[in-house]
Amino acid sequence: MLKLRSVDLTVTVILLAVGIAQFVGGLTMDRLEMRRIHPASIPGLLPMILGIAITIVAGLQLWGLMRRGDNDDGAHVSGFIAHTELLKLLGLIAICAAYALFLVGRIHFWAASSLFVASFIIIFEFSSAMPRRALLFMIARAVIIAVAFGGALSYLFEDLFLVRLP
Amino acid sequence: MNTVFDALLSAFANLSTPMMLFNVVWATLLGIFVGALPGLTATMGVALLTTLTYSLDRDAAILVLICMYVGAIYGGSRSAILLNIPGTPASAATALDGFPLVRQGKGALAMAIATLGSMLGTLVGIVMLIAIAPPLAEAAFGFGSYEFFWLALFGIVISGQLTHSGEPLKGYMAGLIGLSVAMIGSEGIHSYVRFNFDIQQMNGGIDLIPAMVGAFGFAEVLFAMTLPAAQMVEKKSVPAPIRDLLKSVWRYKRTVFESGVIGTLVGIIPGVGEDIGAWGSYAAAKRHSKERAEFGKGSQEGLIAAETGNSAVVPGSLIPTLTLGVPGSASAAVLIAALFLHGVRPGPMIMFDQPEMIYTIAVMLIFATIAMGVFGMALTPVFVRVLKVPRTILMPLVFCLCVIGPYALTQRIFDIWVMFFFGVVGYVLRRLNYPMAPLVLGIILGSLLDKSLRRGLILSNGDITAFFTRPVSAGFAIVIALIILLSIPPVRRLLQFKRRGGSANSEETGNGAD
Repeated sequence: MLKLRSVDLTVTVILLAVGIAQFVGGLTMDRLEMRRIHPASIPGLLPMILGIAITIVAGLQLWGLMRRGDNDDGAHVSGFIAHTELLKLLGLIAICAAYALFLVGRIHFWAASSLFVASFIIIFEFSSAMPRRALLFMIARAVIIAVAFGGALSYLFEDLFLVRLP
Repeated sequence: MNTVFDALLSAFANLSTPMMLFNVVWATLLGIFVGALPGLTATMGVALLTTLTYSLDRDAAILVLICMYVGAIYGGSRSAILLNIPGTPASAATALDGFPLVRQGKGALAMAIATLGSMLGTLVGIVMLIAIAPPLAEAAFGFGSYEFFWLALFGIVISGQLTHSGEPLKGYMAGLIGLSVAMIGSEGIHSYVRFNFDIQQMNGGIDLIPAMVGAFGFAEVLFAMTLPAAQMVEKKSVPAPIRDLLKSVWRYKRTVFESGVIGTLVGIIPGVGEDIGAWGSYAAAKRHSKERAEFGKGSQEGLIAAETGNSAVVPGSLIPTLTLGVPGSASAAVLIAALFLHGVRPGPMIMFDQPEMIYTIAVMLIFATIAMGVFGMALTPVFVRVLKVPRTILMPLVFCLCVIGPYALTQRIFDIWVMFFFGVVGYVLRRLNYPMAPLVLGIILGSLLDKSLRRGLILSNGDITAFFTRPVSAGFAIVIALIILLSIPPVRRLLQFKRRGGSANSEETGNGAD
């Protein structure tokens, strides 16, 4: 069980750090003096301003979160992420990452897409209580959809839109 | 007047080819389905379709995207009415009265009212687009670096202020994150590469399309798969006689007009979007209604206000998109990227470079509206069937499109990583109530803000007061200062206290720790 308020707090602290880092990044950025540019047009100007703004906003947010404590006033994010939901989410991200970041570009696009679609449907429709017949039907349906979709997508992009697929 | 009429007629003639009409049919239909399916939004639909329009010619590509936009905003009403689940956030207000009407057995009437309301709302918006856009573009022609700096800042601030859900700081933060993303890569004045973290692919910056496909597409997939499934209402609806429908709409003609104007005006405000248009119109209709008690229990007036309001935002949001280059909604932000891809440069120069474009887009909107009306009235049973497609089948297909779309644009695997990163970050931020519209607007307006600020400072030789002395700049500066001031909780509380004649009790003043 993950408290949303804790996630909010963590994200705010990360943003605070990003704000400070951005300000430092802007401050230490090249001034391009050798190009004789106007000091008012240095590339780090807006990043510095944004860094300060992010730091202030994140600071105010953090202050609000700390001051509010665990009191839920309805206007702010509250509640929990249940263990099952978190697992589902992480599984979802993992399967999407496996397809987008690993499979695409390594094997042919239609094969990667078909494999992903079929796995996705089977994983998320599978239930241990499913009768054998229903399970076989679900797998067959998933494979048919996956192959048809993978093929159609490849044909659409490669042959109709002339896009070189990964 | 004659020139406008001639321009519209010429655009109408150019777009009335069989191929264009075919494009109107499929794109609007696809848009309605995208909008109707919970988990797929208009912004996502436009973003994904943009990647499918690379090979189309300019007018066909823009037509297809506009039809998708109009169709998807309208399509959201189908699932809002039938399932009590808004297909898009823009239809949340529709569900309030649409679903109770279905439960009363008036589903067909509710859907017909929503369709007619959407058509009328879009038409009001189109009339305002034709009337407002050309003079606004002409006025913006006199804008310099100072005005553009304030305009870009105004877009971020107002969008951050209006799209947050109870926490203005999160709206501002989303805008600042977007602006920071825009700082990555080669900047526009000296071509100096910033924040690339020694990654070569980041030298050119983060492309808008992969970022948006991730933030709206992949994040939606994650949301849709983790939310509980909806239950379909199986109760049969009695078909609505046309006479009843027209009587209802005529009875609420004032609401229709008022909602159309409110929706269009909301659309003009940068980054705010269709959901605010719907809620604003709904609230205004409720305030003026003689049947106020019916709202939320199946009020036809409430339904028509919400649908007219959200549909009027579509043409409204195109007014600043085309004339200022500042998108009126998140979907319009995607549309800007698509317009650039197809050689249209939105901004004050549009009336100089491509004066016919505004009228061409107005005619495209009319085509999309007609198609929306025809499909909306005729295909209700098909929508009901499509809504039954399980998300376990739909979402992997959507994710495949999220992967291939950004890749097709640049042929870089790196853009798939960008999409993925923004999807996960977008999901986390949205889960924590950070609005996405200011983030997208920040990415779009970042380079305008940066260039305008530094060009302005070069012109004034580093004198910052130059940003406050020109009339338009000063006006923008005052408005922005007021918006920020009013979002500070102690100031808000003080104003509330004064408004109530100092009678605020300690409980009220103690509230609002935001």
